Amino acid sequence: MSVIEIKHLKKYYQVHKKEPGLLGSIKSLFKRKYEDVKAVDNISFEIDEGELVGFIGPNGAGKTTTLKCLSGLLYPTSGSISVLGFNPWDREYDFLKQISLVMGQKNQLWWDLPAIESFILNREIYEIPKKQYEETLEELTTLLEVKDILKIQVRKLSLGQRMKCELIAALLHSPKVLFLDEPTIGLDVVMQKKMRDFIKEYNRRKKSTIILTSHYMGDVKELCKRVIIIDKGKIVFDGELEEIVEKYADHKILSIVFSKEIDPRKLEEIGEVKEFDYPKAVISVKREAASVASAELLQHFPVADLNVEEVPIEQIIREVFTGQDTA
Amino acid sequence: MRKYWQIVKITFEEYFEYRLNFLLWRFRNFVSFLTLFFFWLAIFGSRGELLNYQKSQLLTYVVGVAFLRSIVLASRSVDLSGQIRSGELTKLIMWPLGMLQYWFSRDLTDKVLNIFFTIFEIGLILAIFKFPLYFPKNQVTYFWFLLFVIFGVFLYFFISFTIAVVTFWVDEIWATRWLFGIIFLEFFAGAFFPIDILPNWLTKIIYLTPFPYLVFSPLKIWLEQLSGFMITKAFLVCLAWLVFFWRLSLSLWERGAKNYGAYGG
Amino acid sequence: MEDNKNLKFQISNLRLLRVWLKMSSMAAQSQLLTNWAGVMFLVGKVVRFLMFFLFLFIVVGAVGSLVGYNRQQVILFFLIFNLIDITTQFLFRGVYQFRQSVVSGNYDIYLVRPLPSFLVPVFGFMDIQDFITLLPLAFYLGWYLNSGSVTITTINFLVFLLLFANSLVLAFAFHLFVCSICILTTQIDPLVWIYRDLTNMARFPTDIYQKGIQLVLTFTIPVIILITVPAKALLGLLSWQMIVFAFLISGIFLFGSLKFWQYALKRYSSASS
Repeated sequence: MSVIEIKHLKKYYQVHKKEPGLLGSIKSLFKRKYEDVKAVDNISFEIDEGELVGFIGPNGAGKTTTLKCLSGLLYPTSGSISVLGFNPWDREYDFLKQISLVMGQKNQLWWDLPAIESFILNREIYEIPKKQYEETLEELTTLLEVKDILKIQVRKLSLGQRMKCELIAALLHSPKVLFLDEPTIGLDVVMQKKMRDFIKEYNRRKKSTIILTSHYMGDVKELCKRVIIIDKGKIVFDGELEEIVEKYADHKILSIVFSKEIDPRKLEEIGEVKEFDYPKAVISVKREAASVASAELLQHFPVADLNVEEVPIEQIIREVFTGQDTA
Repeated sequence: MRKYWQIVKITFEEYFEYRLNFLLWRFRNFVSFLTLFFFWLAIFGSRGELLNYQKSQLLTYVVGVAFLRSIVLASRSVDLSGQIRSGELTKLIMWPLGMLQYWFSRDLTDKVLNIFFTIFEIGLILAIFKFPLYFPKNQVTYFWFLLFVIFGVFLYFFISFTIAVVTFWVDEIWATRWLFGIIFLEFFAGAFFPIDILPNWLTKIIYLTPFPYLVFSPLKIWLEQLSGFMITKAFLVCLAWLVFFWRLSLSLWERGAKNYGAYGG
Repeated sequence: MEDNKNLKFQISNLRLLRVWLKMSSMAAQSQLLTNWAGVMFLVGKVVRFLMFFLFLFIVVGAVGSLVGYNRQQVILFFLIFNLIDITTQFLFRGVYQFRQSVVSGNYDIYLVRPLPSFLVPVFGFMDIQDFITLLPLAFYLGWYLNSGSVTITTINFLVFLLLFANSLVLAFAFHLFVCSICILTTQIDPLVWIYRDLTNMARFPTDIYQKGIQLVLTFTIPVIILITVPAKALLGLLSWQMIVFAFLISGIFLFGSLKFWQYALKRYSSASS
């Protein structure tokens, strides 16, 4: 039996459009123009125990809204949701004790007090037995290397340390289902890697079901075998990550700034020229050929600056959605 | 049903965004006026005199307090703290206007607006209850009253400004403002009850502070309960405090503006 | 089966109590760190209390009675007012912080926890200062009642306690209502200030106000039920009809408030995408 089941979930918001200015205010008193914003528009999927699923899509696609419906925060407009056999909206304590929601920039730790105090509070809230609490705390603090900062006021910690403590606070009660909303947003590259490693390890050890939303391809590539792409409230792709990467992200983008004039046609030999506007140029090359192509460029061309980038995820999604291969 | 609720909600939000605060303030003044008014009415009962006040005098006092609240005790210098903290002040400093004049004119506009409303509110109560207000018999009284009110306005302005300017150095201004601007002011200025009903030793101390000269003194003059000697004494103390706060606020302002590093960034 | 349910109920309430206590102790710790403002507020509150006390003492003393109550009774009204006012402020300060929580989206974090959805919004921020002012007041009140200035019978005292609890329930209902409004409109200040101002009218025995005003103070924001009714009960001046009525009003407000809160939660759209 699947742990998470969503059937035809819809979440619509009603927004009113108002024209600017005083006249607009007066007009809006008489005739309200309502618009339905379809944050989530008929999505369905199932997730089994222990899966680590990535939920990706551009901003406003509906990822966070779906997560919030799954955790009981938002009231669905229609459709059915079942998580661990519960209807999240009912907010039964037995349900809430088994899930956890971590949102990138939101804090649950008390600012003026040491992290350990917030942990103790959570122990009370989730009724974690003393032995289990101590074991879990030991395990998590060792894994995240924060043992020595637990007694320092949270506001004196660095962003990275704070995020680690937030994560611990969210995991103390060993949730069976973990919702991570943009967990690596705002973090530097080193912290991002640490975060990803931790999540992978946690999933492996605890066999907990994890749903992760992100608009960083890197998060998803590292962590998720299965990926659900959502765009404009609809599911656009639901399957193994390999499929997408193989099919759609098989190339990389090289951005070049030249120091001297060159013949653009020469560039064609290296890869497909997407843009050429001296001194800048953008070339698309196959993934495997990226480093070779870079070397070629540096050797044979007067390059002032060279950047190798992934195809932005918005583009991949657009491709998946429209079914076109715009590589 | 939801549509109507939405309309109510939106009306509140859009139209009264700023006006809501103003109306609220008027409402609160009105409620406080009503409370005191009824209290004294009930206290007097059928008596004509109490604690050296005639019934009409005391009720006039309450009315006078409501009136003076809007004239003297109204200030926009609260905004100054907000502007200092948000960094908006840099913009204003660059104006070719003296800061004090700028703030004072804002205050003045505020007061004019308030006077209209107060007259309306008080008129309403008086019309319902029909009791005689006490009016001074002597012509000179009006002059002195006006003088003290004007001085009161300036005194309050400078006190308020001083407190606001302290934001340059201290973060948590709310508590200071509350303590001095609201608590001390309300009681020691006579905005709740006439100061002279308190024991003698206490009133002596209070007269040394600047507060009574904002509301209490002008009203005592109106009620013609002060001798010429007392008026002169009050006038001198009031003047001294006025000059003190005037110089204080100016020097603090200069010092603060110089060091001001545009807070908000 | 029944035992199981009862046990669960007891355990869950015990848990809530422990959580509340832990949160209060954490709040107290947080606040002891930011001192200067706290001292100012404390001083101001003490000054205000003393000044009003003095005022009533002098004025009612000079007259002898106020709408039929003697000075000791009027002072009692004032003390009860302070007791209920400070207690409700102490318990429900969380409401003042709630707006920030909603606007920043931080409220989501609390909603996901196995706690009543209103626990943090209403009870989430106990102010240690209120507690500090409450203790001496309670002691003084106890002493005052004992001193014989007013005659109190045991029955009256018990009824008073019941009505005091009733007032807390009523205040809770109102503050929950304010939180619902906050979710729907993110505006909180106006309502709270009106509540505070109207409550302040009960510093004096509310009999001094016109009937019309008393009606407003009973049926809109039921200040009279909140404050004057318990005080009158203590003095033995309350008819049993009034007592029943007080409980009825609380019940209605509580029910309405809870329903409205459920409605507001459904409309909660939670900041950010």
